[in-house]
Amino acid sequence: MADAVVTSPLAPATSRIRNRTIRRFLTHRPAVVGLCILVFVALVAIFAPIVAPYDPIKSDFSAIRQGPSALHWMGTDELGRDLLSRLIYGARTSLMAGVLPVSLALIISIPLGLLSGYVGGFLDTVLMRITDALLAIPFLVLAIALTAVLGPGLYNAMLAIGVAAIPVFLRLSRGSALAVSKEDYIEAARAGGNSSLRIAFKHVLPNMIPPLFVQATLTVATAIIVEASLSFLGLGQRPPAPSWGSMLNESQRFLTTMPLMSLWPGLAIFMVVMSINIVGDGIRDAMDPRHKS
Amino acid sequence: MHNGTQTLRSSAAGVSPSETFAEVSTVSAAAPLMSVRDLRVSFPSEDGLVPAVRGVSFNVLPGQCFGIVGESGSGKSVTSLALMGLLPPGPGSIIEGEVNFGGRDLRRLRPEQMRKLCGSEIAMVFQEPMTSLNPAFTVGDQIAEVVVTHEHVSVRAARARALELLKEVRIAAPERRLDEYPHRLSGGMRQRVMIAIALACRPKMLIADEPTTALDVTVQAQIMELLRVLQGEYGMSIILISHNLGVMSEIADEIAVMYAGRIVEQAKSAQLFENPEHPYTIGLLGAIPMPGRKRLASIRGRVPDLHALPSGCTFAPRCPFVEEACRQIEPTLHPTDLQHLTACRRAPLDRVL
Repeated sequence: MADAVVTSPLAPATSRIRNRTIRRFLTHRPAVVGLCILVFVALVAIFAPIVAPYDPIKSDFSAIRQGPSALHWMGTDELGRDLLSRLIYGARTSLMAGVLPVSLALIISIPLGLLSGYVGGFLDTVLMRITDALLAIPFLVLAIALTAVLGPGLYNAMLAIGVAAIPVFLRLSRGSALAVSKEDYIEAARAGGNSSLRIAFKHVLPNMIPPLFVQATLTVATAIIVEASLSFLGLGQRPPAPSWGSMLNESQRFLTTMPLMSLWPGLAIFMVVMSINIVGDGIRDAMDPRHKS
Repeated sequence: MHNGTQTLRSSAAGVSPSETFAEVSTVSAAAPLMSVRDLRVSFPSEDGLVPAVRGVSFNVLPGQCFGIVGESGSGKSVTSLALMGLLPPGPGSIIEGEVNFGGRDLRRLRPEQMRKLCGSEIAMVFQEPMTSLNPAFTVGDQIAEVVVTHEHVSVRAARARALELLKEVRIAAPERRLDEYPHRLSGGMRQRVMIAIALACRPKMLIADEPTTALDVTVQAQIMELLRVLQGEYGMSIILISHNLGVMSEIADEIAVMYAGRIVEQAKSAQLFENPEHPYTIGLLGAIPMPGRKRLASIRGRVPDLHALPSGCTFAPRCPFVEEACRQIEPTLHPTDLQHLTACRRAPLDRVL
């Protein structure tokens, strides 16, 4: 392998560490299982129109609130809609509600955190005081308040979740940038005559990413739950389109008579969130610098 | 201004005004590559200004290795950082004095001019090789980056130069090391890589701040030998900072001993080791372990608190030769022999003992 690198000295040299990280990740069995579950759910969500046996929003009044059967594997809801199909289409909403807000939060917090942590000064003070104020409000409450301002709807809910997640990521990326910019190799880079801009993006940025990455996986799980909560409150996905949260919301009235109706979306949320958390742990362990030597 | 105050202090210390530092230091024939004049660095703190460097002056000749020794807190590292302009700018530190390098006063250069100079004409090797390399990039990339930044050559040419440099710093299997990440290298190898990065643009001056402190003893000797050989090959000057006189003796041509932010003694290396004049230097030399020495001498007391320096000679509270007059006036650096400067009013001590 070393020989191959020598013969092509200009080949991108990043492959090795990635491979090492991936290799170590693969030795973490629960994380691999979690990743398989996530990939499966993602594939089901992508190919929902092919996989789902019924139209998720089409009512069938001849089959209302049925238990599981050969025709409807998970049963039907109070409008006779197939629960399995709704669960499959709901996966699209829930996964999207997990990934998009976190991506939004990352895109905004990384440059701001870098600026705040590396440059410091007045800007840092202002940003951090705003962050402190926002962090004082619980994530869910902040998301609910923002959705209330923006108005109900899936995309507004995702926007609200993303904005509500910014303080945590901003705090973290600022801390990470601050820690990295005190490292000896940053001073060495300064002694080498690099400009501040170059040091910030070339030297600080790549080294501040790992903790953010772990936090991102954990926040994806939280975002899914928050979206479910918002939908449950009627602030997220609008009926009749399904999301796991809105399915829970609709089934609560039948909790005593038809507990299975709320079991399916609950189970789906539980599985996905737990998988993401375990995968996040696996990634954290795999990227932990203490294992690097 | 500088000469004036120096003369005043000299005469106050009982030394003839004609023997001022400036005149003595120009005894050497060659023009100095770097000339530091009355460098002062202080850090504002809650208890007022903390003077870390209090008027340091020295010349470094082309091709010379100038050593600065002193214990922790003596101001040697702060001096090196001030030379490179690496101290936190703004209210974080107050720097005064002149640093002349090749006819330019580094203190007056604009930041972008200073950046151009750093890494190309003046390069630095740091104390901690384990943490001074960026963990996110390969060794080859990090060496090549300096070359690309300062010489504007192609990436391919920079990589070729990186490989050449790894060979020059005598790293085993340089072709393989080029594409390895720093965490796969030992401390000694990383310090070799740091030296390779420093040498990338063939600097005229290398500032090495405790380059071997973090390494084990056998590797220390190898690194010092490497620096000595490379100094000859590149014809560069080195400012070597260390608290280890043994390390110094291997490579330095001239040595300045720092104590509490000042140079207390400065002489040619051989002269300093054979005939130390300042009681502090004598104490340091007595503390070097050697075969046959049953018990190492120690200097009693501790380094003075920079917040509250003692009046008069800063070494007086620890000095075995202290007199009442020592506590009154701080002695200046004055010649006690040919090209031998000492800041002790009782020097040369041979006469005292």
